[in-house]
Amino acid sequence: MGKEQKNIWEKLGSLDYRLVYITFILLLAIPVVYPLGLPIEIQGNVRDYYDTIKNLPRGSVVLMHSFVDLSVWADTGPILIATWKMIYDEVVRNDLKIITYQSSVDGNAKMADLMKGELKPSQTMINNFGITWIDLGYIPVGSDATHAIMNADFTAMLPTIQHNLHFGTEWRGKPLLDVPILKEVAKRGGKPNILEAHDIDLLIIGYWGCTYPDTLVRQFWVAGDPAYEVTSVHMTIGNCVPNVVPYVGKNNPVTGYVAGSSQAAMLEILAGHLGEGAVMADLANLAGIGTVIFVVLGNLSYFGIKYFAKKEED
Amino acid sequence: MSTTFWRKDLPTIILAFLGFTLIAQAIFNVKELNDLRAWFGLIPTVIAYIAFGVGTVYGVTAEINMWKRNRTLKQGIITGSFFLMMALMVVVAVLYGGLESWRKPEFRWYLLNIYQPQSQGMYAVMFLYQCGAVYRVLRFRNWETAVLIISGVGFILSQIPLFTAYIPFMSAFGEFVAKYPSLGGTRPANVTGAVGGIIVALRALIGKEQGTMAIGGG
Amino acid sequence: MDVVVLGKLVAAVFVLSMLSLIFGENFFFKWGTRVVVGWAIVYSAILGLYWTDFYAIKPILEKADYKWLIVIFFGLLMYTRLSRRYAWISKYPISISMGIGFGMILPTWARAQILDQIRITIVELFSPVSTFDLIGRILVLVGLVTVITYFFFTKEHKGVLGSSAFIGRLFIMSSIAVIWAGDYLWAMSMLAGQLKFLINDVIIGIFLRR
Repeated sequence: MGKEQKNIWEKLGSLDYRLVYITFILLLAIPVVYPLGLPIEIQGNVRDYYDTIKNLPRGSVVLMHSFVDLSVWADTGPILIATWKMIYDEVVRNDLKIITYQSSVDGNAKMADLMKGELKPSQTMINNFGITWIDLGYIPVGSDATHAIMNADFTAMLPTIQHNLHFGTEWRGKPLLDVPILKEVAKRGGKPNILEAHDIDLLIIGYWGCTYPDTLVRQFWVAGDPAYEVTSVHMTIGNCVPNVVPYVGKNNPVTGYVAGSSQAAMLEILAGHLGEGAVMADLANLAGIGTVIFVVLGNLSYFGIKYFAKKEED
Repeated sequence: MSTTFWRKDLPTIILAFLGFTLIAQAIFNVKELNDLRAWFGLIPTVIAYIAFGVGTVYGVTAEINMWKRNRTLKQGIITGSFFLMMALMVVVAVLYGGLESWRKPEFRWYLLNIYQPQSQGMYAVMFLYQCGAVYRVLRFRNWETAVLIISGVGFILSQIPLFTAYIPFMSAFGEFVAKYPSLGGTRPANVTGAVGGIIVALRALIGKEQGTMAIGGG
Repeated sequence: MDVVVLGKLVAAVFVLSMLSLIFGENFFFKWGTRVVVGWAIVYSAILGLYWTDFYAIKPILEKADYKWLIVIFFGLLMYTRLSRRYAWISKYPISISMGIGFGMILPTWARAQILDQIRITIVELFSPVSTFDLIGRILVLVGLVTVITYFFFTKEHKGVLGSSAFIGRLFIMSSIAVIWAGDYLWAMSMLAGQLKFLINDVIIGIFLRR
């Protein structure tokens, strides 16, 4: 008995997987060597993220989570870098007070490198470290419990400064409220001389665990007496978009978000600092064509077998 | 007191006591408990940090068992590399800062040149498997898969400059999908998930969810 | 060879070891994963010791804050999990962690994830920014109602309930589609980033020396 010959529709639907893999590898590799440089359209959520930071009242206090997870750096790194460059501009333009921290060892390590390289602050920023901005360092926050403690009193979670930067070393190991900016910020809102969430005007936070928006809303918006209601903007990856969108809105906990490197490119354009995001967005161009082609091929095969193969047999 | 009391009842009593105490503190703002709240909140984190050794033992015994099951040259190289890397990192830690070694550039070198490429590489491979799935699985079989393909592929293309530059409604379509129909699916899932989660949590606090305690063994 | 170049070459080896998985599980892939697991075990041990010292040991030694001895005791009880006979003792630190976790989450959970979500859905119906936005908000409300009917498993999905559950399923598929699409884009960025590194930093930067 001979091997049954596959008709054209079955052949279309049973291409070797290796052909699919190699096609996509080539489609992603070509723009590395020959960039396409196409225009990028800005989406509403990115514009809202940008506008929220840009429209802060003068002298606002921003709690900035320097979100770094090295396993997703290619997708989220551009967002962090674009945001930091925007923050540097806003510190000068709008006299923002910045309190930054990291919630991972990756973050602590990478920030040390970034602050020497891509995110090297100006000499004025370095001189003002501790006065207009401070890096608290690595704080092991992430769960509801740890955020609840930190939001009630930062010093309960981090008694002393733990940053890993090459400047501002005189503040390392010092109690938080010895730092001028933190002393000043602690006098605002809620309880005087306690650094807490009531003292914060905007939270810029990043994550790639998609249940994290729920934790953030519980602990930065609903928790507290009176409720903290700290507005936030989020840096995240594409598949967390459905988890953050329920909280997005003008008077809602989240007023904007940037998801992934493609949207990082949009933020770079708005902020006027093109970088890795634009490069990563460019690399996706041909892979998009590949996606459409393979979806079409798969469906041609499916409908061909369903409608035409039967006719041929008849 | 019986074995059941020590193994089942007392842990449940402790769980309920701590849970209801913190709920009462949040609702009634009991001043005496406010100061203890910060300490309570740190306890799970510190317990997790102290228990690091459990993972260490599991990891090392798993590797040893792999070698015992498969004593070949290749497995020997793999197991040897595993222990060699552990020994190397212990030496690096001892020579460069001890407990503070994770801040040092020497330790960071391993983080950036071994951990980062390996973990990103894993997700890169995942993309290729997804490409295969796109080809094999995304078929317009019924209404549900039609919505899946149109929404999903539409959202993907709305993030790619080649498509948003030349198809006028592409970017707007992606925004529409994320902001309205997808929200119509996620919001009720959040609500129903939260209802279920609260019920399970309350049942656990009153000792009705023994499954949650069974992870302790016995 | 300087440390930066060595780092890039080592990184390239690990990227290729992971990418080799597309040819099926192989020795190179297994070697790469096991080496990183070995590294991660030591790294997490160092972090565990550091933060234990920071939060528990230093307060005892420097501030005579002896309540941390209780926490250290319960933390050490976790090691009973390694013994089959005494593993049940680890229920004590687990119940402490769970009790505290529930106590921290429950007071805010209902408002954040249930009441506010329903309130926002209704309030936004009365404050649309455009006609298109109003249509979208109505769509969200329809989704909220129909998806909840889909999760109604005590009655058979027939008639009106059946139609409503079907529409709810479509909304759920839309939501799953966006999750999958985001995952696809994110993974695409990972592969793009690795290819960019291999081509620009390794092949062109080191071997072709440009």
